[in-house]
Amino acid sequence: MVPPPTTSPPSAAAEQELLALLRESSTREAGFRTLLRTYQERVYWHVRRIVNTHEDADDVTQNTFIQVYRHVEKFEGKSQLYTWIYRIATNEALGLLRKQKRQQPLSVDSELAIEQAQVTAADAPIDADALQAKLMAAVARLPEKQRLVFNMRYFDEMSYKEISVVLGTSEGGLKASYHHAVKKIEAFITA
Amino acid sequence: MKPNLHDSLPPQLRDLKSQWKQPSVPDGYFGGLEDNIMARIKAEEAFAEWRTPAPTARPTGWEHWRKVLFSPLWQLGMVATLVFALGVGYHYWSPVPDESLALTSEEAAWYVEQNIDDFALTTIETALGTSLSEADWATTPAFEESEEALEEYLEEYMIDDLDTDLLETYL
Repeated sequence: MVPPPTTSPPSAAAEQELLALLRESSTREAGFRTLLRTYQERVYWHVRRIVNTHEDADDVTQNTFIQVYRHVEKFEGKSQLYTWIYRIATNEALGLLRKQKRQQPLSVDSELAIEQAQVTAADAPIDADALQAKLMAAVARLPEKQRLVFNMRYFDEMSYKEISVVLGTSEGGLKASYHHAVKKIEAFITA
Repeated sequence: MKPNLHDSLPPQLRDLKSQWKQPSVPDGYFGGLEDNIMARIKAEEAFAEWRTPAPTARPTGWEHWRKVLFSPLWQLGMVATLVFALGVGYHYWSPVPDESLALTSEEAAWYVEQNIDDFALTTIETALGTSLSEADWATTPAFEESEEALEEYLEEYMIDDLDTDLLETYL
């Protein structure tokens, strides 16, 4: 079993140092490489949980960091750097899903993902792997906002405050969404 | 003490979290992701540079004026303006050739004599420095009263200028 990446994001002081490197043209590339090494895996897994396939996750992750590189000079530091990066990644991932939905109005991809998760869950023996497959199937069936909140809370262990920065919604609404998501998943797993 | 994020989760979900197995990714994917992203950024920057023409520095000072002065349009305009100005200047300020200055005194006298009727009385008075008004004529001798006086006058002023035939008719 490989544990999920739950390493804490860098401290505010470390982020400031990183930003200073990024804003100086002579140290920009070195700073950006440090940023990539620090966040690439977390961002990839966050995106992967939204878009399901590695190819899409790879595209979105790369696009996310290119956006970060282009706009980091305009980052005002009102929020943490990593929540800003998460926000870009989330928007990029959702944008890709919407684009795919427009191209395939019946949302074949998401339906397939749900079906695959359900088949895997049904076929697997009752052990941790089967339970994990069932959880993935349950998450895939959640509405978009509940799925995002559950992923960020459950897998990335983000606070409601951080999630509210990423999604631009109130903490109260997020708590309600997470609560509903957990109830639905629990019902699906125990069914 | 900060409560665990997952304390409130159902036991199954809490246990799953600690045993979670990530989906697979290609071998060495994360090792090469950094370079892949940097390569894409550099390629996009190079493409953007290629598409955007290098900004030309706006000329300042003498460089700016040199470019303006030597531009064909400006030169054409300047030539047209100069030609126009010369034409206007020539029209208003060119010296009128005073041909009379080139005449000798004999030629001038001959011209006046031939064209005496064209000259205004005041002009003649100015030239002679004397008045030729009728009032002044009263000072001339009263010829009607004395033939001798006429003869004296003619002798003194005009006798040399009259031709002989005309003089005989008067006498």
